[in-house]
Amino acid sequence: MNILPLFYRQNVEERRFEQIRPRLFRVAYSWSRNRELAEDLTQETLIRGLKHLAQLQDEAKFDSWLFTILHNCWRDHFRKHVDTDNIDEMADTLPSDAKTPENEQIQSQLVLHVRQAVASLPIGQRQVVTLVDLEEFSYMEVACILEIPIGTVMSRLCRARQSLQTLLKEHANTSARATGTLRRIK
Amino acid sequence: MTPPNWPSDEHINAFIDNELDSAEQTSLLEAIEQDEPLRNRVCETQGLKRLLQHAYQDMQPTSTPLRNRFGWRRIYGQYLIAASVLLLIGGSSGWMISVNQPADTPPKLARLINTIGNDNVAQEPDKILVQVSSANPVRLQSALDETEQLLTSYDATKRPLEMEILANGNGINLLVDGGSPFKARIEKMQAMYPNLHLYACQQTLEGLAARGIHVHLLPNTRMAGSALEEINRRVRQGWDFVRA
Repeated sequence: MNILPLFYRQNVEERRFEQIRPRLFRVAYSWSRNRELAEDLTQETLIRGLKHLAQLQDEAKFDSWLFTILHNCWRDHFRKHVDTDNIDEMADTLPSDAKTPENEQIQSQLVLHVRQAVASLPIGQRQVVTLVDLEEFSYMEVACILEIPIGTVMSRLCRARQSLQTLLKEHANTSARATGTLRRIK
Repeated sequence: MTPPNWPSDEHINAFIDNELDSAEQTSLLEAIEQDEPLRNRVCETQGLKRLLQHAYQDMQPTSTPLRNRFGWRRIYGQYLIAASVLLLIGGSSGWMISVNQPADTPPKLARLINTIGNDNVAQEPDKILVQVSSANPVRLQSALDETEQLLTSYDATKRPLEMEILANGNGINLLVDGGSPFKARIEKMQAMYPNLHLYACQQTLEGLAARGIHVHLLPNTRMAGSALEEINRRVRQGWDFVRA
């Protein structure tokens, strides 16, 4: 038995999982708004993925399969920590991340406001918009990952983008007014 | 005849996200050309998408690599045990062989392992196909980083590797001469690693040409009939497939 290819393959598999870690983390963070929780969700996703790799039938669906696992980890987290069965309808109860050390390092106010706007969306909309925009999954892939009909994906995406546009316009107007006030003081 | 509220926000989203079929896409493109408010709506939605991508592009995990975590060791523990047993058997055999050989004869086991290794190297290089279908610079950068890391790692350990980057859809931007933000880097990688090959999806280029967009590809880019065909062909040939 030639074991060398086995180890080469293991190395390749390991790299594949490590490659996707930043993407899983980015999405987990956009959902949870909490770095530690996002790290845990990402790690749990990768471990579950490795354990059940043999169950993956279609290699082309590797990415969406892992994001499905991430969604399941996220759902499990809420089942353990939140007294509700329907996370899609729950109010946003997690603390805002506006004063975390993470955010203090963020140079761009715009980036911060976009993240806050995303964080203010209901979780169902937040999941859809981040999977479509950050990961560029197709609507069908998002429907499979979140186990919802494709029509729901489209309607949630639509509502999410409308809300984001409104929130960001409000922010832009507020910033403009603040700038005007400063000029008058000078 | 189009309905009075056409195109809806859902339609515009689907257009931005490349979810419309070519007929719907063409109709909407024609409408965009003639309708300035519609053009603004599309631009706003497109801008929002880019803004979101920008807002999260620097988010990086700080956790240690998976191989150092318990989970990885637990899963591959059995391989470790098997490898240890093989090493033990191999070590004992080597000792027994060396005992019966003259001192100037190279150890047979070492020669055998070298031969197996070289045969394997000559006949079975690892083969990896990386598909790039997104124009997102973060993903393009990440795809190139990982590709280069793999090529460097295999090169350093003298292990053979065949690698292809296949660009289709919006990912074709990666290989557009004069449009790719990574042109210099790709050319440098190609010069360093002759085992790296670039493929562009013919179908994507034909789609662009039909819309009047004619692109020139980076030198040494080969053509694949369609991304799907190429992926199927390579996977059937035993290639590892990674979608960036």
